[in-house]
Amino acid sequence: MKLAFLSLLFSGVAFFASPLQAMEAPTGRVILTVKGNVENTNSEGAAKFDLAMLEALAGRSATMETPWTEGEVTFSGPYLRSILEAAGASGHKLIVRALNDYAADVPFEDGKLDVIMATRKNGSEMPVRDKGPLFLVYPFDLDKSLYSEKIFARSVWQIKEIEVVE
Amino acid sequence: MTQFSREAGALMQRAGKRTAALQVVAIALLCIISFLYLQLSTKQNQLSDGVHENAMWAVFQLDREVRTIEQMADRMVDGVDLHGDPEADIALRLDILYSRIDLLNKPGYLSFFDDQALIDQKKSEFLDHFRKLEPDLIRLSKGDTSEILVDEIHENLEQFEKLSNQFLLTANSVSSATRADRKEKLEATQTLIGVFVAFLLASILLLIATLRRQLTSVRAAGMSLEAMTLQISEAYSAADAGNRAKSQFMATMGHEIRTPLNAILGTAELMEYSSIPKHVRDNVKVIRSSGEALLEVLNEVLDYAKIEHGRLELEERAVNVEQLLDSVSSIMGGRAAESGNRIVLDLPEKLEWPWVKTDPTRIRQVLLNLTSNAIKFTENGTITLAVRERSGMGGTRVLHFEVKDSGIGIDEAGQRRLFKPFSQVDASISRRFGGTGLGLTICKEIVERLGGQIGVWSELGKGSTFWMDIPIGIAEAGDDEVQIKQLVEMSHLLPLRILLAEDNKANQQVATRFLARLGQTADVAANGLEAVEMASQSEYDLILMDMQMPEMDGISAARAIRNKTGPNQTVPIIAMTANASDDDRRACREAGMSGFETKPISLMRLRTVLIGAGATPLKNHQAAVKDDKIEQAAVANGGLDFARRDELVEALGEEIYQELLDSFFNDATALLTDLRTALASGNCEAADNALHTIKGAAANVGFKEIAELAEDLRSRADNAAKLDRLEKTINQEKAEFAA
Repeated sequence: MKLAFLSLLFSGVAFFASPLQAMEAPTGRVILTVKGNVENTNSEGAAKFDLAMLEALAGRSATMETPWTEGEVTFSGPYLRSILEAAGASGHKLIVRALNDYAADVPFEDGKLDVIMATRKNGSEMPVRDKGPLFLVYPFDLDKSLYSEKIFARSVWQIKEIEVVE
Repeated sequence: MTQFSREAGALMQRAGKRTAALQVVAIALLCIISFLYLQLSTKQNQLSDGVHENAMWAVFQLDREVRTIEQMADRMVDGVDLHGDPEADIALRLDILYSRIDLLNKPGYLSFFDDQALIDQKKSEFLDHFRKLEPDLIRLSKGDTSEILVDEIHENLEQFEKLSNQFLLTANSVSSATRADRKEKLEATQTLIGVFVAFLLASILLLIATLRRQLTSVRAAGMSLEAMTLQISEAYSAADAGNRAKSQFMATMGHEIRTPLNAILGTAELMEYSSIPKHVRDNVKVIRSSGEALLEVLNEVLDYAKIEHGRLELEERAVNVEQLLDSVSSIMGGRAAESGNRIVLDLPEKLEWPWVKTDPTRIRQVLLNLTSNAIKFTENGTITLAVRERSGMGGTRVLHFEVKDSGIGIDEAGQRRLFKPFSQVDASISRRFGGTGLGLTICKEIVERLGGQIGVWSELGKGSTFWMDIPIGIAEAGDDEVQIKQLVEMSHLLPLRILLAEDNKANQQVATRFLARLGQTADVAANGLEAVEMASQSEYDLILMDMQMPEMDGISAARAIRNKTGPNQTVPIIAMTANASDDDRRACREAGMSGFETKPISLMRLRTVLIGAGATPLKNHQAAVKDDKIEQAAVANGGLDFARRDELVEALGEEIYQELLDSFFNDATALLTDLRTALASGNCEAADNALHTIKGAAANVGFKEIAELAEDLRSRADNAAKLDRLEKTINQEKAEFAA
């Protein structure tokens, strides 16, 4: 309890110490834009990421089966929560948009799960033809109960941006 | 009743069968319903499965993507100003389109649709066209906007859009049809389930109805069973009551017959000892032997009645095995000799347990019976009485007795009939040899009551061996010996605390003398009041209570003692009276008395009473026989009862007996005067009292005739002639016997 309070205080201090902290600008092609209620921006009021920036964030690699792939597949990429943290995002809902303007609502809380923003499938970057460049992969390998229609709808591929709604 | 119960049984059986059938039906229906439900839920799952939604959605997305790319391409071809990077956009859109087509090509993705062929046809039409368009689009994405290409693209894109649209519409209609179709099937299954549920419900209702009927018939059967039980128990108690009545009758009749029979036998015996001509003596002998046979039969019947009544009492005391066999041999010796038989005893050289604990009377009875049978069926042969000691399982000790004869023997069929009531080997036996056929039944009953076994080995013409095994305990030698000695020598008994309630001085004297002879001293109360008073002060082991006493009679005194919370509430109280009617006995019993003795009491009877009140109850055959003889003698003699006189003289001595006589005559003279005075003044009660006292006193010293006359006068005291006769007799006896 005490620890939690301390850490809250610490993060609070960090928050006030750097309002609208500027992020480093992407050097490569931008593949993800996090906009809306974000604190850390690097361009046009949004946090933009290239592949290198994303892959620098904490993440994991997970092997699993999905309804959209054949057989066991290994996805790897940063945690959703790492991206949100990096963008200084806060809110209760994320609108995840795909290249073809498909969008799905994802609760902000889902970031607490080990959801990753997969950048690679079986170690290789994913082309647009194969659901790339980004694929929101839920930890089906860790929690079988996630294997449901509800989560499938949230599993957006060909992601281009995330809008953080307060 | 049985008719009804049979009907109820049949009804129950039918209902049972129906219930079983209904159960089977219900279970089958349940299985069908479960199966249908399973199917239903699978179908429902299929219907609501996301797969089909996804398929529809994928087709729709494809169409959307086709339109987007068409618009983009159109604008680019038409040269509409585009900001950004139109080539890259086209390339991206193309990639997206590839990914969508990929998805549709994934095996099984479109398998949801029922009309798969139509879908496949539309898809391949679309794909064929895309393949035609593909190189142009790739060129476009690379910035090539040449004239020919533009025309081609225009033309093809329109067609492409049309095909995509057709694909979408076809997918939609097939999907709707599929959905409707499945819904219909689902509904059909639901209806089917409904029908089966209705059947199930019906069968369950039927089952309930059948069970109810079954329950009703079970209840009815239960009630009829109960009624039957009641009837059976009534019948049983009626039968039992009948049997009891029979036993009671047998016991009563037996006693009633035995009493006069004893008199006949006694008289016959006495006659045999008197000097009579030989032919008369022979006749008397016949009377006696017939009487004895009759008595034996009677005793068997009585024993059987007792056994049936469950009143066969057993005792346990120390018995000398050798003496037991000796007694049997000596009792039966005479009879054996009559038929030319010899009785041989076969004992081990040294008995390991010479003294055993068991019921000697009953064992002797069985042995006597077996020996008597052996004698009956053997002529000029040998009867062997054998005994062996055996140790059984678990340290039990068994005496094995055998009675072996060399008689006619019994065949197997006959052996089976033995030991059954009223049955003999065959009917001719009972004609030839007589007997009740109860003897062996009684023996078996006795042996079984003693925890033993009885049996027979026999072969026709080779004799029979009846055997029995009696479990016994080991006894210390001696106590029985002492008892026998005491009995024989009339020596002292262990002293008891005795209260004697007796008003007549002479009677008091006789009683105290008799008691002294048996080693007893007694406190004497002269009337009922005194007796009650004394009983409330000290504790007694026995109270001998005269019935008629001044102040308070014996009955009232006994009742008072019983009702008081004194020390003598449960002490045996024995009534002593010259009156021996049943009413008197009943009155005594109702007053709480424990026994009843007729006056004058003999030394032997008194001794028996004392033993009965003491710690060791002893019922001795010998004693009873002797007692009977004394009583018979009393019947036989006239004026003076010489047996009584002898007994008194033996107990008290000649001198004291003379004193007793003198005091009797003195009392009698005084009592006669009282009697006359009472009669003259009409005081009946005083007269009766005087007569009662004369009677009691006379009987006590042995003046039988005087006692009888006094008793006779009690009913008709005004008979002057009789009174005179009484006085005359007293005077006669006085002249003869008074000092």
